[in-house]
Amino acid sequence: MLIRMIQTGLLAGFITAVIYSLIQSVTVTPIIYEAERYEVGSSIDHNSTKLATKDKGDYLREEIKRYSLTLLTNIVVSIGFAFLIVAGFVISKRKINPKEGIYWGIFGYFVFILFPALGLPPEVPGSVSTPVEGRQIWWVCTVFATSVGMGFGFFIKNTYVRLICIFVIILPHLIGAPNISDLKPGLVPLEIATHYVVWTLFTSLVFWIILGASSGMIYKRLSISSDN
Amino acid sequence: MGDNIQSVIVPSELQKDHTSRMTKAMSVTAIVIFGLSLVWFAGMTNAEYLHDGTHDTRHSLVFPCH
Repeated sequence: MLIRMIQTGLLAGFITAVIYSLIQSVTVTPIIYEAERYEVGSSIDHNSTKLATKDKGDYLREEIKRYSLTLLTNIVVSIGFAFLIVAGFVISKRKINPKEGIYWGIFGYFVFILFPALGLPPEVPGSVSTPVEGRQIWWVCTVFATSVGMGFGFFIKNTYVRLICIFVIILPHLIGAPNISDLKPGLVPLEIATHYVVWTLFTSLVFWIILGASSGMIYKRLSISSDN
Repeated sequence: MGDNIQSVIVPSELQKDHTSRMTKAMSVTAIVIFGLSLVWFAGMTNAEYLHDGTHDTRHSLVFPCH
């Protein structure tokens, strides 16, 4: 069983990462690049390498390196998320197919993207924020609370349990994410930042749907072939 | 006679069921640990040399970043 789970995760994660990287390179990445032009001079400067390398060949090499590393990171993250989806398949004991996989993908989107984004909206490079460690703690707590709340709330059909689950889901938001209202505005124009938020939330949804569907499809295929 | 056969079969079936459930629980635990480790490594590590490579993914998939 573990072998089938690993195979599904590796394959679905890899396929999703490649497709997502292509989508990301024409949707989110151009906005990141645009925002980084305003990041010059701020405390964190991703443009320094670009400005330092005036030579066209060097610039191209830097770009290839950046896209390759992003693809590699996408593969690692996608495989990690696919493993979690497959664990969900096995725990739920439901009949797995691509459609069921999409439901799990949407579950992942709520847990890892949408609910954490309610407190910590997608940040374009150059935007100001509180120290990363504090935000990471809140992010992890929110992911945990949302997954527990949604998971138990869906599978345990009891009104009291479901009310507790709703409370668990909203608890991190009642406590509140690290506050940014005291900070000075960032350097990136609002137009770019809002554009970025919408594209990020949209492409992340596409990512989770592809990941769920491909996990469901591959898991189903491998289950059929191992049963025969 | 029939009772004797049943008393032999039932415990062994239970044993088999128990073993398969243990295997399943261990497999799920292992895969969750693998998955969380990969997500943590790529999305949450703040070391400078890793951050440069993971930067665009972290911003795109709404992980907290710098």
